[in-house]
Amino acid sequence: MVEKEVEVINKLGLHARPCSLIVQTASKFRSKFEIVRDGQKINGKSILGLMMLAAEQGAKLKLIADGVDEEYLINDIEKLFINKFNEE
Amino acid sequence: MLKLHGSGLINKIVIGKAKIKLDSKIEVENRSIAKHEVKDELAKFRTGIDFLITDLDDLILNYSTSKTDTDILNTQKLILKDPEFEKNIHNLISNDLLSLETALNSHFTELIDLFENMNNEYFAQRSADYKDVYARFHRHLKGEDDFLSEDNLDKYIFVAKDIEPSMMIKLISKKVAGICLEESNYTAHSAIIAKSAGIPLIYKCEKATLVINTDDQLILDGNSGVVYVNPDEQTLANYKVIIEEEKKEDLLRFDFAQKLCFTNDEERIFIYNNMEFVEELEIAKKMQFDGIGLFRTEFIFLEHANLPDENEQFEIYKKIMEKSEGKLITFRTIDIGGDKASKLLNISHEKNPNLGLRGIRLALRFENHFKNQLKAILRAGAFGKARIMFPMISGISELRRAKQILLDCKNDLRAENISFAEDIQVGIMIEVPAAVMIADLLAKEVDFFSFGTNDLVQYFLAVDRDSENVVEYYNPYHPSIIRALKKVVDVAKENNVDVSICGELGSDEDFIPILLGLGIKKLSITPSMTAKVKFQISKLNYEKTKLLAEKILNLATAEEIHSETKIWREKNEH
Repeated sequence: MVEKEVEVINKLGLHARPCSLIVQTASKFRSKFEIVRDGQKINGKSILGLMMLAAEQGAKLKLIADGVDEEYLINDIEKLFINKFNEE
Repeated sequence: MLKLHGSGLINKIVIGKAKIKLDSKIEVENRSIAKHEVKDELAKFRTGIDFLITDLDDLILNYSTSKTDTDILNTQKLILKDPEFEKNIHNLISNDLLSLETALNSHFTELIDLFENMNNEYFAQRSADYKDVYARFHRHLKGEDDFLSEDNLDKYIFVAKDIEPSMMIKLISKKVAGICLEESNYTAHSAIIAKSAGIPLIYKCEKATLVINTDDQLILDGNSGVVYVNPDEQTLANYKVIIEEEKKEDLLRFDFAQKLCFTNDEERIFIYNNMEFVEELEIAKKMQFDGIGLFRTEFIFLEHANLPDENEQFEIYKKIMEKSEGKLITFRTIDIGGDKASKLLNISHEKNPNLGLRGIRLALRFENHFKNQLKAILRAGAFGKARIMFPMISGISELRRAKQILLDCKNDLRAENISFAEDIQVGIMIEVPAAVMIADLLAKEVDFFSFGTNDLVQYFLAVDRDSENVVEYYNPYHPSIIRALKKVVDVAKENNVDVSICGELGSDEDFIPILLGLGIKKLSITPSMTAKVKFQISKLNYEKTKLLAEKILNLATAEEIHSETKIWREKNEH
């Protein structure tokens, strides 16, 4: 299992498009993927789960992946956050 | 028989069978199932998901018109593919023994309620996505969308609250007879596409989805904006006569739409089209088409919440160039002002927006955005034959400034080693009286002129054409307009500057002989008018239109000019 802290730095936060990108990216991997915010834990492959996080700019999230390709999954997801979901 | 009132988009009448797209409340009866039914309900769920995902893929691939549309459709796909969604429905069916419909209802109502009670713009938008997915699923289970999979919809009239552009394209490509919308507007994306395609559309039709039921017989009267629901026999018979007559004329004209346009003495007249969106090009291309005389780029801007950057614009313009088959495409740089502009850019309120920061003035104020657009057009120009047209030019200074910026853009692209249309032609709209007066000076600095007659008339006569109080003063047959056109055409000829018209007068049957007579041989019009205009021109004699023009140039009032033209048409058009 791997864990990583990330921060939402894009201006608009996790609105529909970033949520879609996260789900699409995570779904390419076999590992289980969860995101935790302030104790609230959601399935990172679920669009609904991501939307319910309502993570705005500045929100701090913990990514947790568990499975054969966990490292790759975490890396790809982290890149999305760092690149501001290619929005800015 | 019921009569509903709305507004017609084009003057056409159509009779058909109503098909309703329900956006209203979905009512589901709660139903429990027996253990042995579980397997069937789960199978129905699986097939439903597969069907809806395939349908969304089809929409994305073939009918989506903008990145925003595609993003929304992709999100809807993920909602259907959501593992939590699947888990919950499985649970509701297998453990709680609910029917699929009941399970879906429970799942979605709970979510939609949750989103809506959060009092937050973001979640309100998400609730719309979930509502849409649920409505799609529901309609699929009820078989209400089945008619859409038919190849030919020419007997149906589609009734809805509003309709997204992708759906509009789907309906048009399947030859839907007509469309009746409770909301929408003539400036809406979907409505503009329908107008180009010549599909009868009634918008702002009060209570349409409330009153009309699927399979009701409807008459859409595009002239009056009236919709008859289950008309009585007399009304139906009356309308059928009118439709028959129109059909005969349409058939006759249809042949002309497919041919190059000539007058009866073999003078070649170019019929370009005006358009706003990529999809309209497909409509225009169904006819023999000479090119696009006016591409109104501002509609792309109004579609987006944020201003599209150079690359986004380039992708759109490139698509147009690739589909243009080497025909001329005239890009008019962004032409907005007033309310529309202030929404996109931070502009202070203007008391008189028509005389304010609009057209080229706005572009020059926001030079960075202007540069993005010019570069995108320059780059797209490498894929075909493009020209650039500046709106609202009133003097040489702003023309030179705009041209200097264009030159800077070329230099930037050259420095970055990006290919672009080196020798792109540059022209201006003639729509401000000042431009008419100095046409000889402007002609020395541009490749082409295009008359924007709607604004030209408004500015020349100082009449707001939307003001009911002065509507009688808005008259394009005013001698000043005829003289203005004449002056500019003559100057253009002397200086070897191309001249065309892209305003509504270009498709006005009484005005067309005047335009030809003045020497304007390139008309840019809305695609749905192409057949009609070509048909009329085929009956005109170019040499004789010159005599008409000479005659009316000596008349004193708009009324005399208009009636003289009508008399001339009766004698000379056959």
